[in-house]
This record gives sequence, structure tokens and C-alpha cells, in this order.
Amino acid sequence: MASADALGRRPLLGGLLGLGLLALGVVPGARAEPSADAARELVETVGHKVLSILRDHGLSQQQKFEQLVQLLSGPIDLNLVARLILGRYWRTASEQQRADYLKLFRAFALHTLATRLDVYGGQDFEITGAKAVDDRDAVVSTRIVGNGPPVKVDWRVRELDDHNLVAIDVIVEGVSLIVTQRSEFGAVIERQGMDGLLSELRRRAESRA
Amino acid sequence: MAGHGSSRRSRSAWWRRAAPAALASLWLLRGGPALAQDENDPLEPFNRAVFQVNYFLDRVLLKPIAILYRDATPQVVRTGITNFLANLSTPVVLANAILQGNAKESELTLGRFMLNTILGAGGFVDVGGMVGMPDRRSEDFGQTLAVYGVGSGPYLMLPLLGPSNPRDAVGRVVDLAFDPLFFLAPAPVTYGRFGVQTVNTREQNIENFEELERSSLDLYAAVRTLARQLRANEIRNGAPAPLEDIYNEDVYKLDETGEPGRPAKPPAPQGNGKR
Repeated sequence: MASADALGRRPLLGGLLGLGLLALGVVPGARAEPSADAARELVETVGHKVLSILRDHGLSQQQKFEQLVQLLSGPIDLNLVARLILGRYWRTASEQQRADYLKLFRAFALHTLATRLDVYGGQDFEITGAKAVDDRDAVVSTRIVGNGPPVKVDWRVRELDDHNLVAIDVIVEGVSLIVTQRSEFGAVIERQGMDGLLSELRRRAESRA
Repeated sequence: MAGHGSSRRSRSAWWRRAAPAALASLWLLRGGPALAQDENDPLEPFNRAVFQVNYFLDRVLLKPIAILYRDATPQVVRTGITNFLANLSTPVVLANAILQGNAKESELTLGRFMLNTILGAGGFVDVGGMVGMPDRRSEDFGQTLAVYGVGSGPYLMLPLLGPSNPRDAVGRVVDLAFDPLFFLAPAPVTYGRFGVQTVNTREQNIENFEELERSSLDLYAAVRTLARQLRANEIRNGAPAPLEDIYNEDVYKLDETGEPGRPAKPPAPQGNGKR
């Protein structure tokens, strides 16, 4: 009780990652202009599908997780998020480092999602606005309501060159997933190099297995 | 990213005011790693050392006390304490809302104070929230300085007090002058209030911080960026962050045109221009 309340008040890093995954779906036939309306529809559609999976009492935790990954993965673009997070370090990474990083980041993100299913299941959301911010991105604003006070969550949705829409960032009470992860990964790279980051991610993946 | 625009222009302002911090900076600056500049943390080695001490004290002292506090009190009491403390900070919030020229917020703050103090048992009940007033916003002198364009200066990890910067550290001291209780109440009351506030806030973040400890690869860097983003959000009063630069790198083009060693300068937008 109390714990869920505190989490609702200020979901931090883990929450960001997991929440970020919630909207990383692609609406297959949405080929309109990168309009705010299409972005809003994406967040609304995927959000409701996610909640209906989480609330299906006939499913085990494992089944919920698998269905979520299925829903969000097929056309998921975790790679785009991963590259945005790495930012300028992507340029200097070798082919091998890039491939390893994308693979390890995916494991990192999926693990975070898996550990937070219960938290998300008890929440609901409403869309409070949507607006285009440039020629390819729109921001959809939502309020996530759980046990505690409502939390303001913004989703940044991008229209890709093939006109598919993908969510590229989630901003919880002003804290951006991309900024946070970029800053943290950057700090590890500055101190230990790109290989240091990779071995750190690898160490985590192995300690879970 | 962290207020590059205004920080350069205003550097001299905080520099003069924050004499002790400035001296410490000058002394330590030489050892700072050159590459940390986009995090604006030239004192990183010093900050990391202070962080380790703070983190240790948290584990052996503050967190255990926060857990005891949680076990000993029902949620309704803790909510009441949170409301009461927020009500006590009204003079500081109000003074700064006025200094920022924010008439609407000044009015809300004053209205809520009267409502909660009179009808809410001296502030333990947030009557304002019950009748539909918007969420409280915190204001302090650091935010007021920021609103007038004063940059934060470099990141500072303060002993015991946690993440800050010269501007906000100065702000904390100035805020004491806006706080009648600080002058009127005997010292033990002031210490007690600060203690309860610290433990109460720590209790609210027990799970959040555990989550952070579990998920972060570099706890110091995670705390640094979160502190900074949450602070910037407070200063903007929740308005959207101008973060465009981080999304502007066209990562799909990076594969072809990657120029190793070049800093990330976003390539000119391809094709269709701004609509």
C-alpha cells in the first residue's frame, strides 16, 4: 500500500524505462501526416492494449510479459531508442560494439519491464493533450493515476521515414528517459570507455540469468 | 543542455555571491576531468567523494530511521505531517512567488494557507486540495534567481544536504530570511523541523531510491541527472522542457555519415522543411 503510494508519487529511473516500453509500439496502417492526432491515437490504442493484458487475471506473470513483448515488439524500435540514448558515442563505437550494445540494451529494457508489471497493472491513464513539436515529432501528454497523486507523463512520438509512428521518449514529471539514460551511460563511458559500458551491461544480464 | 544559454551570461553573478563555493571551485578545478564538461561537473572527483560519504550516512542512519518512521506511523499521519510541513513553508513559497511576479500562484499559496490553517487543523489537512486547488508548487530563492536568468553554475554535492549548485545553495541561505519561524522559534524547533522534514521526505522515496540503486549503472551519475531534471522541472513549474537538441541527431544517418571523433552536431534536416 504505502509502497505503491510512494512509487506513484515519483516513479524514477526504473519506472521510466518500463513505462517507455509501454508505448513503443507501432500502429501499422497509420500513414497520415505526423499529426498530433495520429500520435494521440497511438498512445491511446497501445496504452489500452497494455492495460488489458496487465489486468487479465487469466494470465500468469510470464504470459503477461510475453504478450506485452509481443504487442510492443514485432515492429518495436528499441534500437532507435538505444541509439538516441547513446547519442554521440554511437558515432565512435565500432560495428561490433554497436551490435553488442543494441543486444544488451534490449535485455536491459525487457528486464526492467518484467520487474514492474505489478506496478503498472494498478494504474490507469488519461490523455490530456497532444501537439506537434516539429515536422516529425509530436508530444502526447497523459496523466497516470494510481494509488498516489496523479503523475504527469509525456510521450514523444516520431514519424519515421516509412511513415510508421514510434514513441521515442517518455518524460515523467520532467524527467526524460533518454536524458537520464544518456547521462548515466555517458558517465560510464567517460570513466571506463565503451567497452566498460558493455561489460557493465553484460555483467547485469548475467547476474539475472 | 543544463542551461547553457543563461549560465555563461550570469556566471559572474553567482560567482560573487557564492564566495566559499567559488573558492572551493578554484582550488579543485584543476583536477577536474576535461571530458565531463557537458555534465557541467568540473568538481566531479570531489563531488563523488562527498556522495560516497552521504550515501554511507544514508545507509547507516537516514534510511533506517525512515523505515522506523514508516513502521511507527500510519499513512494518514505521514500525509498530515507532509501537509503540515508544506504549510509551514508558505512564507518562503509566497515570498518567492511574489518575487517571480507570479500573481496567480501567490494568490493560490496564500488562499491555501488560510484555508488549511483555519479549516485544516493548523495545516495537517490539505483542504485546498480537497476543494480542487491545483497541486502545490514549491518555490524558493534558487528558483527565483533562475527565473531571472541566473545560471545554476556547476553541479555541487553538498555534505549532508545532497545535490545542489552554487545558485541553489545561495538560495537556501537567502530563504532563511523569508522564514519567520527561523527567527521566532527556538533553535531546537528549527532543528526538529528540519529533521522531520528530512526523514519524511526520505520515507517517501524509500522504494524510488531502491529502484534507482538496482537499475543504475552509475548511481552518482543517475542521481546527478535526476536531481538536475527534477530541479529544472520545478523551475519551469512543470512546463515542457526545451530538449530538442537530444532528439535532433538523425540516428538513421549516423551509420553512413559517421565521422568518428566529431562531436555530435546534428546534421541539417533532410528533405521536407518545417511546416
